[in-house]
Amino acid sequence: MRTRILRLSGLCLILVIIALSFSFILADKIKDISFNNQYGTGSVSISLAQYSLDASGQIVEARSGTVQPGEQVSYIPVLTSNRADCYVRAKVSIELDDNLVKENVSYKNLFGQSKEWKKVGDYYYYTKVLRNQIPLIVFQGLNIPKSWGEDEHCPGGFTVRIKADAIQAANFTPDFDSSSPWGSVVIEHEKEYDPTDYCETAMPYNTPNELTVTEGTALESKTKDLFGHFSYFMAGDTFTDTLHVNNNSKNRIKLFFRMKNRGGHLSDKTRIKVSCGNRIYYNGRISSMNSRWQKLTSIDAGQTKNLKFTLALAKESNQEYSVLRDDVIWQFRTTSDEMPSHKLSSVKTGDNTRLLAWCCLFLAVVLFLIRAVRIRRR
Amino acid sequence: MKNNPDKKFKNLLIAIAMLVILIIGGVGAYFTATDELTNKFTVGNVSIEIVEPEFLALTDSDGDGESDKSMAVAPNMQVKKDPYVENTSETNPAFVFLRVTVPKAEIYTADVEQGNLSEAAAVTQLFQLNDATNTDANKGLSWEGTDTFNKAYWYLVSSDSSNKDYNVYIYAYGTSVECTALEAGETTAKPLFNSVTFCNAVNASDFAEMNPEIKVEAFAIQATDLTSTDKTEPKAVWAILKAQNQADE
Repeated sequence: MRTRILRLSGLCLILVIIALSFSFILADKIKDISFNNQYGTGSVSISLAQYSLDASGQIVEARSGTVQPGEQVSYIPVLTSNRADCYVRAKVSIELDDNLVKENVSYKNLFGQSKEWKKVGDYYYYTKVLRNQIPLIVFQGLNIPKSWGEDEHCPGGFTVRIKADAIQAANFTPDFDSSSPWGSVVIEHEKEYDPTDYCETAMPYNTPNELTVTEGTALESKTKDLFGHFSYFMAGDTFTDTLHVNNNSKNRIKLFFRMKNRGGHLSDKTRIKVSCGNRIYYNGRISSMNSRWQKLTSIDAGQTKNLKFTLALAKESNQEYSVLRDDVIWQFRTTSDEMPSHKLSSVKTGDNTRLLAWCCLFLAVVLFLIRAVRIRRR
Repeated sequence: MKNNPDKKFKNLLIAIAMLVILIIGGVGAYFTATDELTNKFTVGNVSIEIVEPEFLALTDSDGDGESDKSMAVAPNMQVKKDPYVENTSETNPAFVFLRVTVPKAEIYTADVEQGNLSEAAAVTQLFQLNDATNTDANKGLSWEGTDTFNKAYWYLVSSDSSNKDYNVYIYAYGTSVECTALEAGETTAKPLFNSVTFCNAVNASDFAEMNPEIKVEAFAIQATDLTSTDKTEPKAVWAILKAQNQADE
């Protein structure tokens, strides 16, 4: 019995040593490269300010003031887009303190509005895209009815209320000829966010994405970043870029890819498509491919393949998905073309397989030594 | 309970329409934003009136609102006319202006001191405006005194003689430096002038049918905002008032 246990322990030890050796050999043939990236969602933000021209024609901040019947009052509401380009509309309502006056004031009393504004229903729609940080004048003033000076019910005052809405210009096409240019879109307040943790500046596209497989060394990239201009998405946005993979080794290789999401919220709403020419290698949500290696293609020695990567944020992403940022890891792996693809599951970058093997080895050695000492004593 | 097929069909159509709306509404989700602002304006209703107490006290035998004297002007005849401005607003102080339009014509005039007629017909303003100190009906026939009367209270902002039939004068209640705010319910301390003198026209009877009139109009603008922005100099205030009236027209 004791001899059998001793033999069994010895056999375990030999198997573990073989497995470890095999994993070292395998690891030597697998080449990995990782890129840490961030991508996020943009947002729409507008602000309204009010100005007026003083007697000398200088623009000053508008303040509550006194107007005369028949006066042409300078009052200039200005809209500014603080983030993404957007379409805007404004609703102007005037509430009188005394509704008994014979002549009411309405949008007809406004003046100085450019032709780009179109009145549809209760709203003035700006028919062009409002660019970031370009101020837009809604109108320039009000004509106060002259009759107020003669009306026995001259209002003591009135309040001008301006409500402005904005909707992303990207992937949205208003129909200004319809009775509802923006359709049934529900306008929500912009989402609160921490501006110190959020920057919407897109990285310019200036460096080609390139991977090179060399003989006996790891996968190489000229840049630390990959797809850097996949920066901030608006709902429905699609970004595409090409990755050039050069096989400078002497062997045909297989290329694998996976994208790991670090617990962000966007992976459910973001699709990734990897293709080469007309052939699509992968098309699905980022959350669906999380941590699973996808074989993309095989590349002959000395050949280059151009892989097209497309990221798309779902069009139905609502306000909840604005101003978010996800950290992702783009990982690529090459193996020798002779190695079956399923072997990849035995060893993964960052997994605990090798650690477990070392523990087994240590345990087997301890057991083997204990048994050996006991047998020798007896 | 009967099932009407038409009603069923209508209900079906409504249901389909609602479904389509829901689907369309559900598909379109975008990033949006909204903002709002308000501004409160107070309407300053300034009202004024011209009052002429001495002129109104003149005999009006036919009760037509015109004094008997003003109806029958004669050369060098002086008639009391004393336009004050009253701020009849309930609360608002105002800067006030008077615009006086005085008729003129090409006439021969008699020089009383020299005892002869003018050599040729000349365009002459038919009335001279006088303050309380000027009671001399023969002071002069030419227009010289536009800024001599009550000038401690009124300032000549502009005069315009370009029209062939009349001269126009704009006066501000105040000094050359600033307008004097007329408080609600208050009347100017002095009238613009106290009397008018008809010129020494040789053929004064020619004017009986013309019925020449001096037109006096008052204008006001709320003083509060202008004071707070240091816009009280008469010419500047008149420019604002004029601009407003032009816009109004």
